[in-house]
Amino acid sequence: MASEIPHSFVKRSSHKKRIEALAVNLFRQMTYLVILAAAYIFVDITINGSKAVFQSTAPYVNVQFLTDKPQTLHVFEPRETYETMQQVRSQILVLETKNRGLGESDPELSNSYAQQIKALDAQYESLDAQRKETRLKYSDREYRALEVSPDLSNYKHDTYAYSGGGIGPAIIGTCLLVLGSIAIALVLGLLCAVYLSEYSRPGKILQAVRLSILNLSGVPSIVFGLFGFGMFVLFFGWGVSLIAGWFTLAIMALPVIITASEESMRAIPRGFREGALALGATKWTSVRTNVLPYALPGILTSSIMGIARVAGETAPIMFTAAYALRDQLPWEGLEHPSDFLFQGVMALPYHIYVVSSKIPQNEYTRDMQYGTAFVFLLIVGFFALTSILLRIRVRSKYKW
Amino acid sequence: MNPKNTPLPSNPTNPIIEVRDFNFMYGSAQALYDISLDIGEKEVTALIGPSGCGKSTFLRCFNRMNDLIDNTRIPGGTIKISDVDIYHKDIDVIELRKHVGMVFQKSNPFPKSIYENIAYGLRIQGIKRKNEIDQVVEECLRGAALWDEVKDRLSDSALGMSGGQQQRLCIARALAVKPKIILMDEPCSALDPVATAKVEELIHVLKENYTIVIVTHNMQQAARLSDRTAFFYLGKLIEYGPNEQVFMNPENPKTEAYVSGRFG
Amino acid sequence: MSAEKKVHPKQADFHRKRAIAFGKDSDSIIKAFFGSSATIAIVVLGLITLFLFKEGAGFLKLYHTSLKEYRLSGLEYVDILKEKRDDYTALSRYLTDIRADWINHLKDSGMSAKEIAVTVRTPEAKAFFMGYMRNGSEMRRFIKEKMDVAIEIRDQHTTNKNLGDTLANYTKKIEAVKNPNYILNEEDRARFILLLKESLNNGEISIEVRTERQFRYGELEQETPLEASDLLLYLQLLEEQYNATERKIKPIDFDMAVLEVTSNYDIYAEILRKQALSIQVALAHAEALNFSHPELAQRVLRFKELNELYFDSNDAHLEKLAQWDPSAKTLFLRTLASFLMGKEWITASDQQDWYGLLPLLVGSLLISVIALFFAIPFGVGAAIYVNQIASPLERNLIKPYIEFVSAIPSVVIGFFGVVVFGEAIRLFSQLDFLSWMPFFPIQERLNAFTAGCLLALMAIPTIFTLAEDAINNIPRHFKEASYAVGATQLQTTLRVIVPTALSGIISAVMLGFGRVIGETMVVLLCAGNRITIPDFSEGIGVFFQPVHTMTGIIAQEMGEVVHGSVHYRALFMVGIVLFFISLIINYSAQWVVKKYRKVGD
Repeated sequence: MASEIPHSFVKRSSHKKRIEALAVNLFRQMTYLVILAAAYIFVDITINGSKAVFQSTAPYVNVQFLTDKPQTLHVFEPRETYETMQQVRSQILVLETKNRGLGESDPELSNSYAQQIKALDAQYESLDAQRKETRLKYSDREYRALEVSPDLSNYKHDTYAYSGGGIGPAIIGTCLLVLGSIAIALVLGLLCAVYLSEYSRPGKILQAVRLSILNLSGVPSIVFGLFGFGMFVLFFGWGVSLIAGWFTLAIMALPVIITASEESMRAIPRGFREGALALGATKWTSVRTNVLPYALPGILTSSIMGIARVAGETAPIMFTAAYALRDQLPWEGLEHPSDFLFQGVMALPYHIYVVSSKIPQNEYTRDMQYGTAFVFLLIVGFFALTSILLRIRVRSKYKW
Repeated sequence: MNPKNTPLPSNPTNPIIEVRDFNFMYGSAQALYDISLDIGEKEVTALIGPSGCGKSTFLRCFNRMNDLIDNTRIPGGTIKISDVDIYHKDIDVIELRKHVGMVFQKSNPFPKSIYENIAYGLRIQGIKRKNEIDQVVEECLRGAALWDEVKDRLSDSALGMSGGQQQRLCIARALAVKPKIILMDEPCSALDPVATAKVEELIHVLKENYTIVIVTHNMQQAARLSDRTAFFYLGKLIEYGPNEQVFMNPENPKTEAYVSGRFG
Repeated sequence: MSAEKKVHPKQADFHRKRAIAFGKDSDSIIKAFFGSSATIAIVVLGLITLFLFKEGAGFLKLYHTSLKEYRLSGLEYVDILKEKRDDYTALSRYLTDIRADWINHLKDSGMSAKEIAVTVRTPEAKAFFMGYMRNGSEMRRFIKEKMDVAIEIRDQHTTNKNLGDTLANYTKKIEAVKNPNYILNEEDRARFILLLKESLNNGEISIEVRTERQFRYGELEQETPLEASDLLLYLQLLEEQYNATERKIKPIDFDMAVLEVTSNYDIYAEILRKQALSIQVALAHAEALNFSHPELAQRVLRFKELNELYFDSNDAHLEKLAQWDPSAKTLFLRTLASFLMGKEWITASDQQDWYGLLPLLVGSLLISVIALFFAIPFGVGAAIYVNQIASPLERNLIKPYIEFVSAIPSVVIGFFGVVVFGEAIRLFSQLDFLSWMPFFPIQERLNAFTAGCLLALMAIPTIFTLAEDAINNIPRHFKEASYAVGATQLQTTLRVIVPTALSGIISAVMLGFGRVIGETMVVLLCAGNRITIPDFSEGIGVFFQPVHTMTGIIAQEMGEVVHGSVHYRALFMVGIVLFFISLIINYSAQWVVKKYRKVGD
C-alpha cells in the first residue's frame, strides 16, 4: 500500500476505460466518415459544376448555360497541333518502353531517357495549352449560323451530342413538374390528413387507410413510374405529358404530405378545439378557424421536404413525362392551350441520366454533365435546406 | 330509485337541469352509475370527489363534450335542460353548447388577440358588425372583471397574459355567446392563490345571472362558493344537498371521511 | 338576422337539428367529404395493383404460347444439341488456357521467343492442340443446320399468325364495303389510292384493266372526288389484296416440320462417335509432350479426365434427344417457374426469348447485401453516436445534415458513381499492395460493389433517422437506472439502450433494405448492367462483377419495347414482383414494431 491511500472515487485508468474510449471513438469516426463521404460528393460536384455555371467575367453567371437549349457540340481542334501532340505522345511511349526494357542494366542511359521523357512531357503540355487556346467550340445553332465553317484541312471536326448549349428547358420542365405535382399532392394530402386527424374514428377503415399510407411510402419509385405509365399515359391516353408526370409524382409525394400534415394537426392542443366547440362552433368551424391556421406553417414546411423528394426523382418521370431532348420550350408551338398539359418536357434529373449514360466522358462533355448535376443539386438542396431550417424555426416558434 | 320528474329530496325547487338515473360508459368501463339530481337555476353547484370519481365526466355530459371521445355511450338515463332531453336524437348539439358554456381546467385561450378571443364566439355565428362586437367584447370583459386590466392592450396576444388572466379571459369568452349555464372544470387548479381569489370573486358575481356548475378538488373552495354540493365516489353520487348539510352534517360516512380530509 | 334573438331563446332552441341536404346536417356532409378523400391512399394502392396486373396479366399466357412454340418448332431440341456443343467449346477453351500457360511458363524459364515458338510447334504439340480443336467443326455445322430449320419453322409460324390478323382485318373491311350504302371516307380514299398504285405493279392483271386503273389513279391524284363506281373497284382491290395475303400463308404442320429437325439422329450419333475417336487420337499425342512443369502436367491429366466425362455423357445426351417429344404438354406451371426461376433474361434474340427473373433478383439482392453491409453499421453507429455520445451542438448539426443528405437525388449519386467513384474503385484495386486479393485488379469499374457502396450512402440516412428515433423513444429512466448501478456509458448503450431499441432498429434496417432494393437510378448507372447470374464460385470476387437489377431492367428497357408484347408484359411482371417485395418488407417492419410494443407493455 502506498503511503497515501487513495479514496475510492479517484480517477483510475483501467483496461475497461480504454475500451470505452476506443468504442466511443469508433462510433465518432463512423459518423464522421459518413459526413465526409457525403461532403465529398457535394464538394466534387460543386467545384466541377461551378466551372460550367459561373464565369470570371460579368455577369459572373453563365447565362447561356442556364437558358439555352441543349444542342450538339461542335469542336474544331487545330489539326497540326493535334498531330504534333500525337507524335510526341508516341515518342514518349517509345522511350518509356525502351527505358523499361533497359531495366537496371544501364543507369546512365536510363537517366538520359528520363530526361528526354521529361522534355517531351513539357512540350506536350505546352502543345495542349496551345490546342486549348486555338480550338473552336460551337453549339449547333452557332455552327449553323456560321457563314464560313472552319477549314477542315486545318481543323479536326468532332461532334458531341447534348453537350452544347444549355439546360434552360430542363430547368423550366423540372420547375413545372414540381409546382404542378406539389399543388395536386397538397390538396389531396391535406384533405386526407384533415380526415385522419379530425374526423376519423378507430375502426377497420381507418386501419386500412393507415396501412395503405405506410405501404405507399415504401413502394419503389420505378413502380410508381410503371403505374403512371399504365394508367395516365396509356389508359387515359394522355401520352408522355406534363400532366401524366404531375399525377405520378403527386401520388408519390402523397404519403409524405399526409403524414406531415397529420402530425402538424395533431400537435395542435386539444384545448383549441374544445374551446371552440364549447362556444357552439361546429366541428368544421373549429377545424377551419382553430386548427388549420396554426397547423399550416408546419404542413408547408414538411411539404417542402416532399417537394425536394419529388424534384429529385427520375424513375417515375422516365416514361411518363420526360423527353431526352426537346428543342421547344413548353409554351412554344402550342396549337391549342390545352396542348400545354399534354406535352412532354425536359427535366433535369432525366437530363443528368441521359448525359451521364448516353454520351462519353471527356473534357468537352464534362461541363454539361457536371453543370447539370450542380444546378440540380442546388435546386433540390435549396428546397431541402429551406425545409430543415424552417422546421427548426417553426418548432421553436409555435410551442403551445 | 326515484320516480321520474318528481323533485328529489334535498334538491332545489327551481331546477334548470334535471338528471335521472344517468349512466355513462367509456367502452366497456362504466364511469357513472344511476345518477339522479337536480341543479337549481342561478345557483352554484359544486361537484366534489376524489380523482377518477367521474365528476368531470358528469360535467362534460351537460354540454355533450363527451361526444368527442371515441367509444362513449349512455346505456340509460336522461338529462333535461330547461325541460328538453339533451340526448334526444333531434338535438342540435351546436345550439346546446351555445346555451351551456364551459371553462376548462387548463386555460385555453386561442393564440389570437384578446379581442379576437372574445369575438370568436360571435364571429362563428356570422356576426360581422364591428360596433356590435366591440360592445359585446367590452361587456364580457367587464363581466369577467378584466376590462380595466386589458382595455389598453386588446390587440395583444392572449398568450401573453398571466395564468389567472387567461382563465378569466376564457370565462369572458364563454359569456360572449350569452349562455344560461356555465360549466367550470376545476378552473382554479392551475392558478396561484391570488389569481384563484380573483376567479372566485368573479364566480360570486356571475351567480347573479348564470347557473354555474363547478368541479373542484378544493373543499374550502366548494364550501366558499357553492350553494349546493354533490359528492361523487367511484362513479356514484354518494351525497347531494345544501352546503351546510354536506360539509357540516353529512349523512354518509364516506362523505364525512372525504370532507374531513381522511382520504382523497 | 338579429344576434340578440339567436342567443337569447325564449325557449331552449337546441331541440331541433338543422338538416341541410338528404336529412344530414352540414357537419356530417363535411365529414363524408373528408372521409372520401381519405380513402385516396387505399384507392391509389388498389389502382397501382390493378394497373400492374392489368398490364402484366397477359404475360403468362403469351409466354406460355411462346414456350409452346419453342417446343413445337424443335428449338428446344436444338438447345439440347447445343448443350453438347457448349461442353465441347468449354473443353477447347480449357485447352487453350493450358497452351497459354505453357507459353508463359516457358517465357518465365528464360526462353527467347524463337525457342518458345519451336517448342510449342513441334509436330506432337500440333497434333495435340490443333488436332483437338479441329474436332468440333462437323458437330457445329450439323447443329447450325438444325437450328436454322427450327428458327424458320418458328418464324413462319409467327408470320402466319400476323398474316392471319391482317386477313381478319381485310375480311372486316370487305364485309363493310360490300354494303351498297357504304360511304368511302378519307381513310378509305388514302387506302384506295395506295392499293390502286400497288395493283399497277401486279403482273397478273390484263392490259385493259391496268390502263383503266392507271387512268383512275391519275385522276384521284389530282384530288378528283370519289364516285360510286369506285366502291366496286375498291372492293375488287381489297379482295385481290386478301387473296395475295392468303397465298403468303404457308401453313405449318408442326408435327411434320419438326421431323426435319429431329431427323438425322443417326448421323448425329455417328458424328459424336467419330468425334470421340479423333479426340482420343489427339489426346494420345499428349504423352509425347514434356510440359516441364508439374502443374501443367497435372492440368493436362485433368483435361483428359474431363474428356472422359464428356464421352461418357454422350449416351445420356443421345438418350435425351431420343426421348424428346415435341408434342409433350407444356405445363402452365412450368411457364410460371421459368419466369420466377429462369436463369436467363434474353430478349430480342433470333432464337428464343427468355424471361427469367433470377439474374435480376440475384443482382438486386447482391447489391442490397453490399449496401446493407456498409449501411447497417454506419447508420446504426451514427444513430448511437448522435443520440448517446455526441454533444448537443454536434447533435444539432449532424441531424439536419444527414437529413439533407437524404435529399440528394439518386441520379446525382449515380452520376457521381459514373464519373468519380467507379474509376476510384478501379484505381484502388490496381494498387500493388492489394494485389494479393484474388479478384484484384477488378475488370469493370461499374459493378455491384460500386452500386452497393453508393446505395449504402442513400440507405444510411433512412436507417439513421429511424434508428435514432427508436433510441430517442426509450424512456429516460432506463438509462438513468443503468447509470445508477454504476454502468459506464458504453455498457449502458450496448446492454440497455440498444437491446431496448432493437425492434425499432431492426425495423429501420428493413426500411433501409426497402429503399435499397427499390432504388433505380444508382443501379441503372453504376451496376454495370450485365444480365447474368454472377459467378458465385469466385468467392468475394462475386461482389465485383457487373450485374443487372429488377429496377434497372424496367428503367432501361421500358422505353424501347412494343406495347403489349411479351417483353413489355414481362417488365410489368418484374414490377409486380418488386411491388410485392416492397409490401412484404414494409409490412414486416411494422410487424416487428408492433410486436415490440406488446412486449413493452
